[in-house]
Amino acid sequence: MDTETSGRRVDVLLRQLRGSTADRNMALTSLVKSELRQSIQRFLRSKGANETEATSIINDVLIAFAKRVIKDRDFAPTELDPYLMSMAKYQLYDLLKSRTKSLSIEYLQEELGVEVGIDPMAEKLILRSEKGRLIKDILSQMRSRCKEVLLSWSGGYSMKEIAESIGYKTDMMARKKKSQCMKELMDYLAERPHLKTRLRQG
Amino acid sequence: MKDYYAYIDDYLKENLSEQDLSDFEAEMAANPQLRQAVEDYDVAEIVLDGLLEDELRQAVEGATRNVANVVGKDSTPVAKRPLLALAAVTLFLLVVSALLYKYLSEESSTRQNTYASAIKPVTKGSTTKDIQAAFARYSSDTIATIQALEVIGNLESAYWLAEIAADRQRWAEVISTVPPIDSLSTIKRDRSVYILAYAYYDTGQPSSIDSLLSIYGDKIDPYYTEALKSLSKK
Repeated sequence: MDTETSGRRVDVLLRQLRGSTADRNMALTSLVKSELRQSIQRFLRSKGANETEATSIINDVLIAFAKRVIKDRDFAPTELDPYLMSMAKYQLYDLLKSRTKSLSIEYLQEELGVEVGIDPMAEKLILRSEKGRLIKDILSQMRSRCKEVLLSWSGGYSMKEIAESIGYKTDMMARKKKSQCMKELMDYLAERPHLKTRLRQG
Repeated sequence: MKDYYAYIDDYLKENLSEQDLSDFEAEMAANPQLRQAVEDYDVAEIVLDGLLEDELRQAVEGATRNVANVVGKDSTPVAKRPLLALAAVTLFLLVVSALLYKYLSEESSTRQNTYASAIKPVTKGSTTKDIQAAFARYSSDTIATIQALEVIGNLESAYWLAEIAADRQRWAEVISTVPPIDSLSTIKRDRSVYILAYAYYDTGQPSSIDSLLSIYGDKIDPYYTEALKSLSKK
């Protein structure tokens, strides 16, 4: 595939991830089904990850990548394959390090072939952590319409787009609903200072 | 500006006009609840981040489960794989033969109804669950069945094959498969224009996107019109 075609494919994928829920899911499904995913899986297996660990790493990589694309509208990697592979290698390094504490950072460079520098997993995942369990508890208290509105908003949609997708007549109505839901969330947190402290911790 | 909670984000990102900023700060000085909300905003952002992550995880893990169901796990000893594959192919052929017999012996309208209700259209309003359910059906078996039986009519068949090609990002295939757009129902027409535009974009045919825009720009859902305009400008 030439560079221009590859660039256009990345561009299509980024647009789909930043598009409607249906487009986003279409993009994620095609990533899950892609040859790239399979080659990352084979690589991870060849370096000592078992099937479950490899699947978990790839899923985390795809989620972190999608999150970054959605939240940072200026983010545009020119090539997808090396970017995702590099993210997977950093995750693999963390996994191997949890098994062998003495594993040095040089392992990344020498054995996994990664230029050691800024961790490309810049968008850290939170739901796997202790903090994630707290967040899940908070989300379970939220009304579904509020979840829908706040999810769209945190997904970078404009008030106009949120109004259209949810069926409000004007973007002012969507803004009002968002404000109401944020207030509910804020009130919930204000009553639970221990949650705030724990969520702010690393 | 009365609903101050709606403007916390703008306040923190310094997006308020001078007048709004002054109003907001005056209200904050007088309203301890609002002040608290501004201070806690970073925590709310962590929660919202988790909400987005949860949604993405559901989509990725759902798609992974579907792929695993189709492909099967890779833990089978290598020596047993050919035998299992042979058994699977034999079983598959038996099932397809039985289905062929069943469908060919039914009235055309009955078959059409069965398929029309079995495959849900994928639209911009579809939920994650709908999409996953729809894509789960788009296995190679489904394609083979659609192609072999033409059970849902040529137009419908071509439309769904184009959707499958788009799902797999085979854009050249999308261009060759999309049926005559004007013959389709509204939702399928809009979707066809949309995936065709992506296909033209991917294969470097901007003038074809412009043609689509000039013909369908005023007819299709404004969401898709905007998407076409954005692809056309690129």
